[in-house]
Amino acid sequence: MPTKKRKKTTKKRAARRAKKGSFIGRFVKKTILYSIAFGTLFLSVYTLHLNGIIKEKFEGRRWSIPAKVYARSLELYPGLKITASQLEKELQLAGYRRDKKSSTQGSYSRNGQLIEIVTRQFKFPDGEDPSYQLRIRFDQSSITSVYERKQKRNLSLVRLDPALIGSIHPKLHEDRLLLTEEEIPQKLKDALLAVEDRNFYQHYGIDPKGIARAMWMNIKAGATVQGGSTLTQQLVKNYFLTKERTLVRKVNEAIMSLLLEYHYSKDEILTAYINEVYLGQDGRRAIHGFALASEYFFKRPISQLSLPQMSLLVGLVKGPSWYNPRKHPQRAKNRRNTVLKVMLTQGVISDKQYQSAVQSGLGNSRRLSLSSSLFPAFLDSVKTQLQQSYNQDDLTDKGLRIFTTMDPQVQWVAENALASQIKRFDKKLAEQLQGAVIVSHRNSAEILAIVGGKNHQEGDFNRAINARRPIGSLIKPAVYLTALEQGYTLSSLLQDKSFSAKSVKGKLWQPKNFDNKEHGTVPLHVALAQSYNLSTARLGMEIGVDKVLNTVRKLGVDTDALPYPAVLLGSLTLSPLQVSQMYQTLADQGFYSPLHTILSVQDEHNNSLQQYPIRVERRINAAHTYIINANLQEVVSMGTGKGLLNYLPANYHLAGKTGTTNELRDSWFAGFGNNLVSVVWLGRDDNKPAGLTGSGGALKVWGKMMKQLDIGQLEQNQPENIKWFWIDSMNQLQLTGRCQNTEYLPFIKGTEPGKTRSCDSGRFSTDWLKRLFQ
Amino acid sequence: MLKIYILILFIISLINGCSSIDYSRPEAALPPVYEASRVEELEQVEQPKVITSAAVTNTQVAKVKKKSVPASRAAVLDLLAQSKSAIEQQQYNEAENILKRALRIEPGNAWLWHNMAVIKFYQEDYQQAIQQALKSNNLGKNNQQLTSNNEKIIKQSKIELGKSK
Repeated sequence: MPTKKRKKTTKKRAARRAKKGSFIGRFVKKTILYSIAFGTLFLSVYTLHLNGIIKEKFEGRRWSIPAKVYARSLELYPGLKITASQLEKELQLAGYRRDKKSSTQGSYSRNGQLIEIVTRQFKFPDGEDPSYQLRIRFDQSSITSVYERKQKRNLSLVRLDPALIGSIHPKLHEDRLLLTEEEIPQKLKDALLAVEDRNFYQHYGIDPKGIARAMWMNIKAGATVQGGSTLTQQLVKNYFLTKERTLVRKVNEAIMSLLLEYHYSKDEILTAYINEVYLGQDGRRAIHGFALASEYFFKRPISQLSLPQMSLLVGLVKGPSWYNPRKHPQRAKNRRNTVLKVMLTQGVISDKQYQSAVQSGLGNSRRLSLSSSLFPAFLDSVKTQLQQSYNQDDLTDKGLRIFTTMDPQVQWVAENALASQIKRFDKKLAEQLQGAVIVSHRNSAEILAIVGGKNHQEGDFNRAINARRPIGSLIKPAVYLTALEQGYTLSSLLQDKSFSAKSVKGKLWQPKNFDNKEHGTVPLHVALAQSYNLSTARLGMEIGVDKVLNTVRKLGVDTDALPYPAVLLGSLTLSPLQVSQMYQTLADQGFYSPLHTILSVQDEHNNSLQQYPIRVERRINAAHTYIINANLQEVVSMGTGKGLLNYLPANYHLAGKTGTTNELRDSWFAGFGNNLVSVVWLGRDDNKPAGLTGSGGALKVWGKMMKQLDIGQLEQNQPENIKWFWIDSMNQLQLTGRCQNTEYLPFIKGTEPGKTRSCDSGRFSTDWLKRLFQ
Repeated sequence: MLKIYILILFIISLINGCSSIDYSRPEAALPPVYEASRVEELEQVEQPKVITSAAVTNTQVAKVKKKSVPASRAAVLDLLAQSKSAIEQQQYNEAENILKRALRIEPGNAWLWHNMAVIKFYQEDYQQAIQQALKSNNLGKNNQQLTSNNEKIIKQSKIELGKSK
């Protein structure tokens, strides 16, 4: 019994234990099941989340492509005023490489007065131009012939692909050029896969074998020669994840790699990788993708790279700054040769190819850096104009192509003239002196050059656009134009005598002449030519300050200045750009066209997003502008702008106006010839006296600059109702016959002095001019 | 684990969708064809006159100087012909782009401005057609043919503007 009992008890215990055990087992099982279910659910949701990220980024716009800003494209034709050296400089700006043979796109060779170029195929806003093989001959000042070598014929016109003068980067400053699947050279794929991921076409995104092999290879070589990550993993890492090294990131990387492989073909992933990978740093600008790296290091498209060049780029993947061929050529060469060696051992290249490749030099070239803009003031103005139509993301992400009016030849000359002239002033003065220049085309209102300061560095204050300074006598043409509109003529007599008027808050305003003298009775045209203040102020008070401001507005300056008398002598503060607009309208004989820097904006698919049509509006009567411009020519031939004749011949008949403000704080010159309009300002940023008059400062920069440019002999188109007369203003007489010391002046027919006198009868006019000019 | 992934991937594959960006734009209705203006070189007679106070006689100043044809003329005529042919094919935007290119080479050429006015007229931008014809007139005063063509554009544009009012 006891045994039985014991047996029974043991059974019960065993059953109880079993029961207990099964309970624990069930609990454990349940826990495992629940956790698997929960884990799966969590993973599913998480995977779905990652999947969303991948699909959104990979199928949407994959990369932020900064907007590219181009200079104007240079039109080449026989007769174009450009020297061989100037063209060469322009080619270098456009990233052309000097090459003895000049056989591939984007290369040139020069032999004295002959330049051979192979232009790049390029998508212009109005269509694509093929590549041309050109032979261009020059004489001392211009092109004599443009010959196409392939088709063996002379061309009347051909254009160069424009120079890239900057790009508008997002915060990360990533820049890249995109390649399509078809554009990727097989050589590149071979080299890349050999070194980075030889099982690429076999694995599912993660390659355990690859990791093991890489480890083995690295141990064998005693250094890291191969990475364990697949290309897919590397792409995921660069593309979707941060650089931190955590377990979560590793897990994410693995899941995302599998997802990427699931959704997309191998070739799509490879293409994305080739476009994504970071390969170098150009200042603040990060070079991404093989296509841009090829342009950046070798100045040629990827399709033209040799085996060693391609291998160098592939080698850079491992450490773009460590192997930077410009900074560490030997290191880069070693790395390249390692890549070649890997390719050799994997049978991608032959021994012969290997031998010749390892012998070759690096072949990388120097390049003008685009990290900071070469022309910051111009680019800044372009951005300002763009921001009116596009938001920041459009500009930094969408690969827009912006075609501008910038003429590098004019820009260089303008920058140079400003900087070198400032240096020529007294050293103490020069240190604090700043300046700005704007040059535009007279008939098209295209801005060709903008200089925002003497140093023109990125981030510098752009004085050409943003500085607001009193314009001094530059306002006078608006005063006289208003007077002409009210019936005054060039021979009207004005009183150049002291006076005072009530101004702001009842203060007395007492203008003075620059020479502190009174000039008595003077003809209107002399008052402007000599820039007399007293007569101008009196005239302005007579015709109405508000009317003068109205004229300023008609000339294209949007101002809400109050009509205080001091406005008449230029208390009005404007930017050099605004002043340019005023003189542009005068130069274009009363037609207002908004000054502009942008010609066209294209999206990445070359669709035109925005064209900037030419807008023209007749704002000022043709006859009145004709007369005022003739008077501005007199400023240069006989008045305060006479100093210009030290730089340019008198028969250019240039029109212009000097401007000086109180205590010589601002020195201005604005003027135009047949082709160009330009405004120069000099002064100090702290607004202290700069010690320069308009003619002593800005005029010199202007002259120096225009001497080197094709400003052209100014020819006004004479309206039908204009007639020129020989006049004796002081006696209000029209003269006929052989006269001396007379004025030859234009009038609207019928407004000339009615009384005539014949000089042939022996009665000469009064000699007021003698008094004035002697 | 891989099987779970594949399962998940399968589920995900069911919710796949493709999206692409459509950049195509509907073609605008083209305005009717008008007779394109004649391509002709600008007559080059213009006398610069300047204010002078030197002791000179009337006859010395009144010399008529003939302008020489600019070196860019062949290039510009080439573009002008291209733009004309684009106008004839009612490709007005293309014609405008070509003409802008020509204007960048010779901004003071009155015939180019005239053709620009013609294009603006075809594009039904009558205000600009008038303004650009005025500008053309201003630049090419001595050419009767040009002036008369411009006057036609101005007159017709005013009629069109009147209609729309």
